Amino acid sequence: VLGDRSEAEEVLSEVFHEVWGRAERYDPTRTSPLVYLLTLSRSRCIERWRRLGRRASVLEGPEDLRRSGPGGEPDEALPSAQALAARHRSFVRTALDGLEPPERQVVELIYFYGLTQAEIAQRLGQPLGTVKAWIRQGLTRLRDVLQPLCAESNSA
Amino acid sequence: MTADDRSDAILLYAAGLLEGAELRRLEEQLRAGDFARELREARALVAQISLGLDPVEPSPESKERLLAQIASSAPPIPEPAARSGRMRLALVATIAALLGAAIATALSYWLGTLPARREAGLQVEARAELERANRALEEEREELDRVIAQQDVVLGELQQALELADEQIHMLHDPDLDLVVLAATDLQPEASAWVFWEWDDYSCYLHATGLSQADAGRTYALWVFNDAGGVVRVGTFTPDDSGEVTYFAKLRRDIGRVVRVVITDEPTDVAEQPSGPDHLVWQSEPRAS
Repeated sequence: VLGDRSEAEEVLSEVFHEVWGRAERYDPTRTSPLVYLLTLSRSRCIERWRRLGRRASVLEGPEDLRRSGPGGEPDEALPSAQALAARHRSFVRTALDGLEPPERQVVELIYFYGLTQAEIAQRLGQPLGTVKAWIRQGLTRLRDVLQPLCAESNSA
Repeated sequence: MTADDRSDAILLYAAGLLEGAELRRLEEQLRAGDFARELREARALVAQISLGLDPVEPSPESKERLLAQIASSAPPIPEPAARSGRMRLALVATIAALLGAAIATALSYWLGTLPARREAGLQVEARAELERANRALEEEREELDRVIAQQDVVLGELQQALELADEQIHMLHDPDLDLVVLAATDLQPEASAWVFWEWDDYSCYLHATGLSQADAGRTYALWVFNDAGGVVRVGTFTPDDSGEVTYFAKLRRDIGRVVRVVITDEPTDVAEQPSGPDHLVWQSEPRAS
């Protein structure tokens, strides 16, 4: 997302330090630890991305989501944690690949870069209503595909 | 709102996309109903989109930085208890630690009290500085008091002069004003004098010019004689450097009818009767019988 490994490591460090120092903020009734970490990382990533002034030009999601495919079948030889991650990656990419291109584009812009619906509409030159419809359809399609993963994540 | 609409709205809410009225409406519904599970699933769905990204292993330096950061903010972890096989070493280490702690304590005490001692020194300096400033202010106040006292004197004199001028002006406007012109004698042929009488309040105003300075130990005196043979000393005066005199006085009301006015020079301890020679004289005309 940040396009810079050292920036990403800074965010990683920031997130883990925050978790270490402010663990009392975590509410297990609201989210699982994995979802909490992912949400926190996403927020810190977007904040740093904005601070770096990279809001102006982006039109697509992160490169590696398009560069490689669904990731294939999980490798049984991998350790369990890595195998689980590979399985998740495969699920998510399959779900994203199942979206219409505009739906995928808006979901990625929203999720990875924190753009608002109005910003996306302006950037893509599309009516706001159309963008909202793409977002709604994209998210509901993802939900339908990822529902089993959601339940799994919640219990993680 | 149908259940499907609400599910969609919760999904958008979890993604942070709801705004304005839509946001308020959903938040009301979330408060009113039990949608915790649905919201939790929606948050999980949104969060795990990032799981589609390729994992990247953080660098070892990153891990070390993070651990160092945590160590610097974490409370110290107590050392494990010494094992019996290392008692001697532990004893030596403990003594060394105690010595180190004692030195550290003394040092930290010294360092800890340093600000207080510095503060105390600063307080002494500040107090001395305040006292100096206070003394300077006190001297300045005394000087100002002196100046004010001098100004009060000047003001008093000015006030008297003003009151006198008021009286003179009042007298000069009075219809009962009498003017007598004194004639110079041979002693002061260049001198001249006028006396204004204001009988309404028995005021007397003398103006003289061309008078020489009186001899040492002597002064000029103004005398008034009435028709009963009595004499009244109105006052004494000294001309200025140019020989002018302006003098104002009140007369006794029982003075009677004035028939003669004289300026003489007298000893400074002036008697009740004139003893010196006449310098300027006015004499009334004898009444027709």
